[in-house]
Amino acid sequence: MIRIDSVRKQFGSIVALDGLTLDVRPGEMFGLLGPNGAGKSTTMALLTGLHTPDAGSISVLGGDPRDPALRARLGLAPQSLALYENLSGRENVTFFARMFGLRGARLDQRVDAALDFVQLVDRQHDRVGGYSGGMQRRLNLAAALVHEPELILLDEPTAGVDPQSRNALFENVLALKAAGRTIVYTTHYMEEVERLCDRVAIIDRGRVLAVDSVAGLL
Amino acid sequence: MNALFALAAKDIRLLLRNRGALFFTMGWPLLVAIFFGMVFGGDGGSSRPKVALVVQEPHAATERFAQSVLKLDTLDVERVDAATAEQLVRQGKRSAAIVLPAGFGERSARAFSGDPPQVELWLDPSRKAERAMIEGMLMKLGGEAMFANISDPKARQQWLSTSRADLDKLPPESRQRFGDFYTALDAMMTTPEVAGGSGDAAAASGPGFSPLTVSAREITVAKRGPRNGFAISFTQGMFWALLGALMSFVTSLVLERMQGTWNRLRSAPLSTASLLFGKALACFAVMFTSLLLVSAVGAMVFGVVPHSLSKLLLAFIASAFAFTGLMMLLASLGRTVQTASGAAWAVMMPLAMVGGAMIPLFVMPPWMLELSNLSPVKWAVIGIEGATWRGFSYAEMATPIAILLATGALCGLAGAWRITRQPN
Repeated sequence: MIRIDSVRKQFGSIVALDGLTLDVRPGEMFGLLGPNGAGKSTTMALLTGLHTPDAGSISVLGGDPRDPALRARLGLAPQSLALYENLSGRENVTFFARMFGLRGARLDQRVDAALDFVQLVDRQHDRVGGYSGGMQRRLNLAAALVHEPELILLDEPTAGVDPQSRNALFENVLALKAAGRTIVYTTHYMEEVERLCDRVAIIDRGRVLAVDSVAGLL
Repeated sequence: MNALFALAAKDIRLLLRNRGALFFTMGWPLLVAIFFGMVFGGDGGSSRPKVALVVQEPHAATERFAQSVLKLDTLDVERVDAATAEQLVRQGKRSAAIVLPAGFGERSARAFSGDPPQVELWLDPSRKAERAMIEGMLMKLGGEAMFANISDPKARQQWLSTSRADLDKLPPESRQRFGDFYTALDAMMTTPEVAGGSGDAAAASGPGFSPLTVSAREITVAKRGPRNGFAISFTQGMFWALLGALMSFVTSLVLERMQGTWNRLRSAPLSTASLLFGKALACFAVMFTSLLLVSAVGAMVFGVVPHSLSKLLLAFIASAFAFTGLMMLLASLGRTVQTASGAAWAVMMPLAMVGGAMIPLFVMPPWMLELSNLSPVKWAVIGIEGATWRGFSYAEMATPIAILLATGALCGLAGAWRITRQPN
């Protein structure tokens, strides 16, 4: 599903990734665990084609993530809340669905399903600026799932949310896992990977320190 | 294409929901146009045509008619001498001059003999609408003057006396009929029903009769200047509409990059060029709509009617295109809203100052006019003024339009090139 081979990425004098190598299997929930600045978000940016590696190679879903056709099969929930506060929740999800080519009856159907999945149907017509942090995180997830991607990339999806909202997000992620989706999940909380992930890579300073199942690492 | 329109629609919706940005794009330009129109000596919002009145004889009837012209609510009339009137019309400062020539009073003292009183109208041949309106007004006054002669006993007796004295000038077969008519008219006007009534029945003149005739003298306007201060200030208002939209979209593009939505969009199956094109499409649509709005208010409320609508639309398209390109370039100059908007103001203000958006081009000293050629604002102003009051031909419009289109293309491409190469 994903193959990252000896990838190096440098921003000026800062080495973000230093020979990173990873494999993610189909249907697997794979965790990237590491402190801030470890290279988790840079890895996500490489997987979605936002960056190009300086060295090494990346294959996602059997192709180059810089290919727009391939990106249509990916769903990214970025770490920053990439939403429009002056649009309603429904307008946000509808807009991002259109960016992935959805239209007509299927568009409405998928937007309804995504909002229902994150339990925001009741607040779908409210502007996102009035949502709580947890609700915005859930909407961020809905926008990543609306086009039914084969590969879901969740970049610290619980950052800055209260425990109740975090539990709601966990429920969403576990439902995706139960549905057999392939998910890459970045976090710096051990408890999250313990609860959610099949396998985990611990990374620091752009290098993989260990890769194994949670039980194996413990 | 669906995604491009969705991108543009999203940006327009966001702008409409941002009251501050909406005000500076749509409301502020109108305030600037109206305020400076008044400062520049606009006619205070009056849409009445300004006309000069020339009286060329000292006659009581002529003076009465002149006073009735001066009292018209539908015209803004100023009494001047003949030379001044001709000069004002030639300079385009008055729509027309109404001239009451020698003999007007003597002719108006007769009923159905001789020529009717004649009024001369001096005006530019292009002012067909004003001519029809002023002729209508004069005919109405002529009818009222004739009714005044009939309804006032003293004036009627004098008027009938003059008319009876003129019976000899009529063909023999008509003398009896007109003589009988004058006698019957006099008898009717003294009956209580008519003397105390409204007199509507007498207001109408007979079939084929004209209370006065209007002859036109064409005076071609030598130099087409703006008709009023609003013609200048509304062009400046249009610049502020362009600037308001430009600043809104510079901020919007930088905010997208700061807040992460830009990266989210880039992870969609769209090229960066498509994303930038969607943003540019929205910016162009907002700019064009703002220009239409300011122009419509100028035309409907302040009489700033374009010389040519098609040329004005051409100027709007070219101006919006140029400023959309500038927006793209300016948005690439900063990574934060503060730096990008600071850079945009720093670039746009000097361009506006030398470009005629703050100081009208026609009052600029020669050295400043030379310098203004470097500013795309000047070409937008020239293009819009060319279609509004400068009376440009298509050949004359070609230069500003070409410069604006080239500016938009170059700046847009340079901005897009910079943005696609910047790190996220």
